[in-house]
Amino acid sequence: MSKIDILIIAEGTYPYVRGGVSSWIDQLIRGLREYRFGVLFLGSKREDYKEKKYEFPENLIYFKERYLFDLKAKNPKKRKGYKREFEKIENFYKALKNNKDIEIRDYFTKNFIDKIPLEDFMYSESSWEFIEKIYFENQKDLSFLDYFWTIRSIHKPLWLLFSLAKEIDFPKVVHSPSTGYAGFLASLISSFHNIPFILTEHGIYIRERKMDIYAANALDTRRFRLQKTSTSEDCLKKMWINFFEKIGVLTYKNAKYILSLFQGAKNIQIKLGAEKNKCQVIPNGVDIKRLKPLVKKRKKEALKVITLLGRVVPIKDIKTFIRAMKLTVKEFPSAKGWIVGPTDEDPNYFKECEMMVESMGLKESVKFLGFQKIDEILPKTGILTLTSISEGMPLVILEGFAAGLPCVATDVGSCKDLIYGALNREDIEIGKAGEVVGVANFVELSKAYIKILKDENLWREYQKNALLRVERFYTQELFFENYRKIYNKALKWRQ
Amino acid sequence: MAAIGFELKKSLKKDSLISYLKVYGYSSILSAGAWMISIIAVIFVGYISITSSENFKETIEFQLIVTYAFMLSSSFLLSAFLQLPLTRFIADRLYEQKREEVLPAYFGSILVSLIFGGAVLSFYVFYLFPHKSIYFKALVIGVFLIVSLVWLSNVLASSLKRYKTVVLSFFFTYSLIVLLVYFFKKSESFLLLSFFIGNFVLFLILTFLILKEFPSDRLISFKIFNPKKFYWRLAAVGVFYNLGVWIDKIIFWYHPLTGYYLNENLRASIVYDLPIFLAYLAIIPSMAIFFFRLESDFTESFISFYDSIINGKSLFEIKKYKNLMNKNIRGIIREIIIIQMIINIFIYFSAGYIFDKLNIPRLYLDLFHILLIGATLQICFMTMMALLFYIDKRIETLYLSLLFCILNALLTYLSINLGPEYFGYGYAVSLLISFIVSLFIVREKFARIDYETFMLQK
Repeated sequence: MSKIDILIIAEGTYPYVRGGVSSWIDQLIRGLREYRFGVLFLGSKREDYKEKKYEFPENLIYFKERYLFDLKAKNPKKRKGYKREFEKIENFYKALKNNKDIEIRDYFTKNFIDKIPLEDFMYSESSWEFIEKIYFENQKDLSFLDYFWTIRSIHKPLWLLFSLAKEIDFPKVVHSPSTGYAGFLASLISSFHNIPFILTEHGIYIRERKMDIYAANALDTRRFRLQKTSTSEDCLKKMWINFFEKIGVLTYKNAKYILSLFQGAKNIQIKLGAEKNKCQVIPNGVDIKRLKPLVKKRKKEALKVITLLGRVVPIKDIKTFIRAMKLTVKEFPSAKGWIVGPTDEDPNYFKECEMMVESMGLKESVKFLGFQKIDEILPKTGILTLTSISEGMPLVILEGFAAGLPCVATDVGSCKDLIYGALNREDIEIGKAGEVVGVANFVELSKAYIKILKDENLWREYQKNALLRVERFYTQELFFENYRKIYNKALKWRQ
Repeated sequence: MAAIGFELKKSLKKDSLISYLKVYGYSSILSAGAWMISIIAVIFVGYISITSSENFKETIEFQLIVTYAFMLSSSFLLSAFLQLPLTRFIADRLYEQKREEVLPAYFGSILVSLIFGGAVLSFYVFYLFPHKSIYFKALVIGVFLIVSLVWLSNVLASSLKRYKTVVLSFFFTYSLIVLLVYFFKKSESFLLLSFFIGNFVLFLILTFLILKEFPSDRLISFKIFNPKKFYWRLAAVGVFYNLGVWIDKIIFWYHPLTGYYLNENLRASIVYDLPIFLAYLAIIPSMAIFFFRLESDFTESFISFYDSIINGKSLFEIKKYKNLMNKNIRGIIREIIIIQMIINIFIYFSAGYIFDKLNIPRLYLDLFHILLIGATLQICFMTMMALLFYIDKRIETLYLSLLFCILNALLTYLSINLGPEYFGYGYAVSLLISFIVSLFIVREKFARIDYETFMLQK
């Protein structure tokens, strides 16, 4: 029997990169001390990551890291390769294409990697014939050079996944916080070793990948070696998206439980092909006990500081916030805008934002404070804001709530659910804890700010509602309890 | 090709790819062209001096010394060993756009060949002519050395864009030699001297062209001799291939049944030497076809094929160019065989008459016929080797040149022992086998060239 109860597969997150998913993993492991956890980190390349950002808790008993794009094959050498095994892959693709119900077991066994080693995929004649064939079936006019490299780049990491799925010290339960490569690996482990697989999606991976892929430079930083002849670029991007969509669906099929953070995400999962009765919403929770004292720490009156908590990157749409602040300051000159979060991730974007602040004459009102502890910042803030283009379930809103802060956010992810209430009747009856506006709509955004800034009673009501909602529905205890139930069910399924 | 693999990934600099191919591919053609011109010239010189002087033996000796010079420089001396590695070294530097490294490498190779060649040749010449004057010995050493330097320069000259100038300068200097001999026919020493002068002029012209084409602030570098980076396989291919070309002649010279001492230790073969030279003379048409077809049709379709890959064409187009290239290859082989065979049939019926006219005994006729077929096959085999060089099949060319060399040695030796009616069969049969094997390899490699280009790049 395996020593590891639950193996979490972290793709590009815990423990090397700070962020929503990483904190979530950290919180989960620390909160559920009765289980022994393992973490398998899947990175792009070793050099893309620096030191570990999280301390390992005692019940994290197993850690392994592997890199998808560091995979080295032996030197090129002519080889035949097994034609029949490649036909299996072809049939597998056909089934995927026709959205058939796919059991990985019917196509691949644990020993697949021995029959088609990476070198066979890279160098064999059978592999070449396979690539030629799928090219003629799917593309025909696309630059073959580009197609070839894209096929290689997409598939090469799968060999790492197959060998990991075969060799890993397999756990009793495997848990992946995303679809993508991690979800696919979890599916493989689950079907090769016959263990249950829990999927939690924070955002919708497929959608996020789509955005990544369409932002061309994201491809460069990920070192996907795309050849760029302008005509074929779109086709190649579609290939990537298609790939992530297909393995996403496959992951849904293989998962025993499909969890999401909020209702909207669950609906999308179902639309993308997840089975309805496997889906369940488990929202994040915050540590009320730790954050509650912050309410007392703040001054009694409503502060005129609007804080955006988030990294300075395009997806957070900092520029819309700056534009909204311009309008707000015009009407309400004492208002301040703070942007709190690391600025080094996208230096160019940060520069653009700084220049924008300067050219709009907002240097006195809008400030970039860099990374700060929330315990310091929240008590000095009057309104918390998020202007993102995309979000899953932002923990900062909940933390703000717990610290007694209303929130003004764009209508993305679960922001509306959090601010207006959506879980049930009781939740809705609590009332609004802030305002929700359209994405990139800085006029509405500034109106919302001004409305709250001008009306201290309104601010107090929002604060009261925020505290009520977070204590009732979004506590850490509730979050742990929910996962405890899921884990116990999954562990029993194994026996 | 290794460098094309690199090219595919980076997808850049089309021009440098083409210049790379030209250098690497053309050199094989060019060395063959130069070789042909030289042989013809030597035969002319011989013919002129035989018809006009009574020094029959001296003329034969001169021809033999020149033959020895070609043989030594192409297969025994350092120049033979360096021929292909130097070509490749220069092609690689040109590909990297490091033109300034070409000249030092050239002078480095020349210097090393001169020192080692000079030392080895001095002993050899003292062995060949123990009783000749020191002046004569020095002249022979000079001839041997200058031919091996020309051999090396020729390699580099082929990387010049104006490669036709190179062929022309060969033509010019060898005409000069013929003229010198024609107007001032005197002693054997004079023949050697004019040959030396002609080749020296050629060497100067080639070096001048190289200097002009590849300016550099450094004169000499021995970077090419770095043992870790040296192209050992290519060196071996050059040596074995050329040794294969000469080995049947050498065996005929030294076999007690067929060879004799012409003068002192200089060996020759009355039976074999004349027919084989005549056979080489008769295959000039195939040589021309080989030269022009490979240079124009094949190179063009070869470049189109790689262009279609690099420029992001569809697989359908790539295959189209691949098929076109394969069609061109078939065309070249077919053309060489058909045209040469028509000529051969013509020669077959007229050879007796021509032999009578040239005062050559009809005794040689049967041997000449089989050697003619052998020489035709040699051109075919050379074509296959050149094609394999284009796609950088170093192992395959090494095995083929080894096969040819060993077969030619064994079968020639066997044919001599079987009796006079089998003379020449060793050479022809070894080439027939090598050609057929090479044909299969070329077919296989060019049929799978798309697979190998994409899947086996480093």
